[in-house]
Amino acid sequence: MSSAAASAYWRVAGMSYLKYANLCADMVRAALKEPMKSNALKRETIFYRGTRWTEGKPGESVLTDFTEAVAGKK
Amino acid sequence: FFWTSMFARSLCRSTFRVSQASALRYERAAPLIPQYQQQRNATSLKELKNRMNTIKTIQKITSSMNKLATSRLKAARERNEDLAQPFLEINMAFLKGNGMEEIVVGDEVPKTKPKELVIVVSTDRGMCGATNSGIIRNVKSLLLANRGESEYYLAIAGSKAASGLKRDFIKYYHTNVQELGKKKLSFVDVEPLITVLSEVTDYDRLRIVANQWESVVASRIVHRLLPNPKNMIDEMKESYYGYEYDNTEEAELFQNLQEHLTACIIYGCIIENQAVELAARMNSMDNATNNAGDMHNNLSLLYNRTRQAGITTELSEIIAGAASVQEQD
Repeated sequence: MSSAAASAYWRVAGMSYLKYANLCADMVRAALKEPMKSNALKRETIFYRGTRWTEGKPGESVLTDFTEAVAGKK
Repeated sequence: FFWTSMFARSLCRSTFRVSQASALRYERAAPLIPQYQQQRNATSLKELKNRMNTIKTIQKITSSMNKLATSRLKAARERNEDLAQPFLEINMAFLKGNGMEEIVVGDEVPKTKPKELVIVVSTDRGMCGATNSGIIRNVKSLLLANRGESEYYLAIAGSKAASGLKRDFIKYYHTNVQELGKKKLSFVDVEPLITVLSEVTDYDRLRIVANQWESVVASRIVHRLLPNPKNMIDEMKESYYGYEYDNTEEAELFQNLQEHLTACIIYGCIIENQAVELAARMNSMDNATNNAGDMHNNLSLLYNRTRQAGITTELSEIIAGAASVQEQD
């Protein structure tokens, strides 16, 4: 048994559970065969514009736009 | 376009039809000139014509927005029923029965815990009735009522609530995510809203404020409450014992569960909000189109009456002049 403060490797690396779960989902989608693969890849689009605020001041507004799969790309 | 959109916004806020009386009010609107001296000259006719054309243009705009919203509503409702509702039901089922459920905030503003994370779901585009204004008012009243006692962190989806709450609560802002759903919304898109959960770990409660779909004409605002994962066992006693899990890394398990629960609930909320937004836009643009049509009809009657009165005046002047010339002969 590890120590009381043991964490999963991805938690230690700074990833949140969501990031980890989404990466796993990407891997699963990349492992699919056609035609299911192209159907699933359509679901992988990521599109949003995020702004982080600190002390009442906005930071950079970052557009995240992935219209194709990131993982599993050759 | 700014001026016409302001005008259209005022049209869609009026829920009653323009009456004859208000059309007459326009007739008397030429200021500083006593009524008996008002001249029905070409200038005022031209102004009337301009106003009528503007209203016609606005009617076309609101009508096309109405059609667009109506055409998108069906698909949005299906997404809501097939995708969002199951996400919400399954995940809220875990929290229900422990005070961690949906509450509809009515007139009585609830007391918030000393440190709360508030996630607000709104839209990017306006002209959708009370969808965003209701949310903004709701959050404002909640935060103002608890002003001295509680500290908040706000994560906001959509630009409308971000600008609406900026004036009073800008110091609480943590994240703002916009342009969600511009391309099809995917589960990954809710991730930036959840970063606040990993950065602020000592909060007492997580509160998600969003619109809930009731029908095509109605929606309401619900608050969904989640506990801090560290307190999950204490706060979730009733449902806690109904589940089995691996005891090895309990703290981390609940942290992961919390993130996943929140993400699923927010994902469902955003999809539901899209359906609510489209239905509200459809209704308000429909009202605006009808109001514009009524105004146009009233103005057109006024225009014709004015034009005919001018012609009658001219005719009577000519005839009187001719008669007086004849008399002189």
